Amino acid sequence: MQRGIEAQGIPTSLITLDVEQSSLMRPPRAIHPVGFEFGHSLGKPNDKNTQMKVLYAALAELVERQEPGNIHESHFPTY
Amino acid sequence: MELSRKAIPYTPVDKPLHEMTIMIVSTSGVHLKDQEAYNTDPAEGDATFRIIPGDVDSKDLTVTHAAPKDHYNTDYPKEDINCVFPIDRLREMVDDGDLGGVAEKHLTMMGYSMRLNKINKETIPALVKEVVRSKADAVLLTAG
Repeated sequence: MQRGIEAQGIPTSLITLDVEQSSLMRPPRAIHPVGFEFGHSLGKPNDKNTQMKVLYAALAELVERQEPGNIHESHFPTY
Repeated sequence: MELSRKAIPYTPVDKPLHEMTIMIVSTSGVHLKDQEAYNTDPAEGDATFRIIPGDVDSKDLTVTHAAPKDHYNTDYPKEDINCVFPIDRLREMVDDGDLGGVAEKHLTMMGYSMRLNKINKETIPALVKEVVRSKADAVLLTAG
């Protein structure tokens, strides 16, 4: 899906916890919030602080020059 | 649309974030409470997608997903949809002046559907068309 969108000239950034599956797809831009559980890939319920940090990290991927195909591990101590 | 496995499509970004409009595309099974829920019967799967209006109240959203609960616990996003679909956080970024805007609609699917052939041949091309029409500058992808 990400590749389909990106192929139309629209940049994308992925937040993934399933690194194994996502790596196979070689996403153009992606972060992996390390240690997060499925169900709250941006942070736990009502933890606005962590959710915002994950969102900023994912969107920062858009404007930073990338070598596509890599998933960047990101650490969020507030999680 | 057949994409090469080797070549990675990559669209450079020439705008700063504070001028960009962002759309969420998510496979987390998010949908409006009054939209049809995703089909969680593994024998049938679900290859459909839902359009979420950009001005949605996050309290009107819920999640239906076929994944086992020990793999993807939907109790968390049901309590706060921003766990997987950060619509309120995006709006706060706009309010803070760090983001240009939030798209007029967002798109969701349910992962774990197993109907990969139909999804690749029909669902994704239709979904990509919606993204292109939306004039969003970039897409944030989230899963469960």
